[in-house]
Amino acid sequence: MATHGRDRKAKRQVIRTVVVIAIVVAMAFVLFQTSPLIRNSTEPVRAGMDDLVVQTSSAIQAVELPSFESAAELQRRIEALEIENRQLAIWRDTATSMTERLHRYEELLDLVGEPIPNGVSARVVTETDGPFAETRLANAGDLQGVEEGFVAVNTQGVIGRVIRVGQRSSRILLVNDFNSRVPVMGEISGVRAILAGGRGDQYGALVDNPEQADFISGETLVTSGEGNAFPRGIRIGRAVRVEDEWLAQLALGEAPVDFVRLLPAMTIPSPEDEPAIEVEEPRTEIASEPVADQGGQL
Amino acid sequence: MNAQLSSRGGGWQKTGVFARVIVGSLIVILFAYVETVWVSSTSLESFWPIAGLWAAVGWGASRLSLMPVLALALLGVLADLLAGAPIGCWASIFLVPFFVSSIFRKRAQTDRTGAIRLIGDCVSFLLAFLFARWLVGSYLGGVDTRDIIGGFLSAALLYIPLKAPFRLSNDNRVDT
Repeated sequence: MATHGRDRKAKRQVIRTVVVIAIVVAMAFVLFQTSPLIRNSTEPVRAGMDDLVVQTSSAIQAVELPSFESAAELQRRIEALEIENRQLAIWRDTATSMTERLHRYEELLDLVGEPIPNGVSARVVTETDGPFAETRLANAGDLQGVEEGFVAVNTQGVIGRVIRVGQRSSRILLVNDFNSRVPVMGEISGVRAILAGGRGDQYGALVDNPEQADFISGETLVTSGEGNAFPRGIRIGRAVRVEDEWLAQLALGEAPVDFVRLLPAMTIPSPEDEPAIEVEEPRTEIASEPVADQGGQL
Repeated sequence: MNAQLSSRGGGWQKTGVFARVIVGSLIVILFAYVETVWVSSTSLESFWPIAGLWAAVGWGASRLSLMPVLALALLGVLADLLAGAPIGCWASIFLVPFFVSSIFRKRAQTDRTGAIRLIGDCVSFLLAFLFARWLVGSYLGGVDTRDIIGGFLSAALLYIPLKAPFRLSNDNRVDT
């Protein structure tokens, strides 16, 4: 009996030791991932998990719940939608005529028009607002042509950029994440700065201001395009002064982030590790030497 | 839920450790999935309970074996992938309350008042929070307590009514 009790006690000690070792090993894993190289090696697993979440979420949301709306309510809704549809048709005609006029003006002025960037529209499926990352998961990925570095915009302006792409999902790092850095400039003042996240949902810090000049309070902040991570001139917020400090009031907080447009960013390809060695082509004169001469030498 | 599960002389009482670990894990995964897909876009997210803590404290309080340790490690990796945390972060956070809770297990069995078990649960949740705050803060170079305290607090409060599915033994002295 006493032996049995000692055995159980020894077993408990062994398991406790295993638990402590497991905690230490897990902490060591965390420590290793402070190196970006090791952390990036887990990206394929994370992208796979993103795909899984997007697919299951889409499947669940595709299930239609029974509607308990009465016929009268449905009729009212149809009438409201018809009115909205007529109003939108007017706006569509206005937009079409304005686009034509714009093209005419550009032709008259011999102005080089800016090409409209191609992009992908996607729906935001989930959010992650923990201490580790302020991100959104959109339901468009590699199969839809999304690539890492694409810029995510909504109706109000830039909200972030794509940091991870799965087959059918893309993870967007928001501009208010503490890891986010966006080169911006005041639309009127032209003062440049880096917009840094980590100041809450509504604001971003304006750091690394090379001109040491003041923004104009309330002016629109746009992306400056420096570094080529973001295209130039897209709205990102407003400059506001809070307690002797210039902050950016983010466009991100002005509208719900439900649908986003993912735009390609101009990226500079990384140089090749080993440049391709040029193979010298065989000289044409050797090839064109008459066979008869060779035959004569032999 | 506690009363329902403990009153069933048949089903749950006869369920083995493996099945109980599976059931507990599924509850944790369900809570994590609901948070990811539905709750994350609402203001409830800050107070959504970290269900993995229920499994950690409950399993540690009732039985010390390797199976729950393995399950907690896997649940931790899953939580890391969903939260964008470094792999190993949530596994270590779950294993700390499991370890602390197991320390109080033997003493709780000889205590008829249930005070030691209650203190053990409270200490487990508290140390889990302090450890998480230290680990996350160390990794990120600082963390706002408000970002993480809600989940720990609600998990601790909801643990009392929801702890029954996270018991690995039929020993009622654990819960007296």
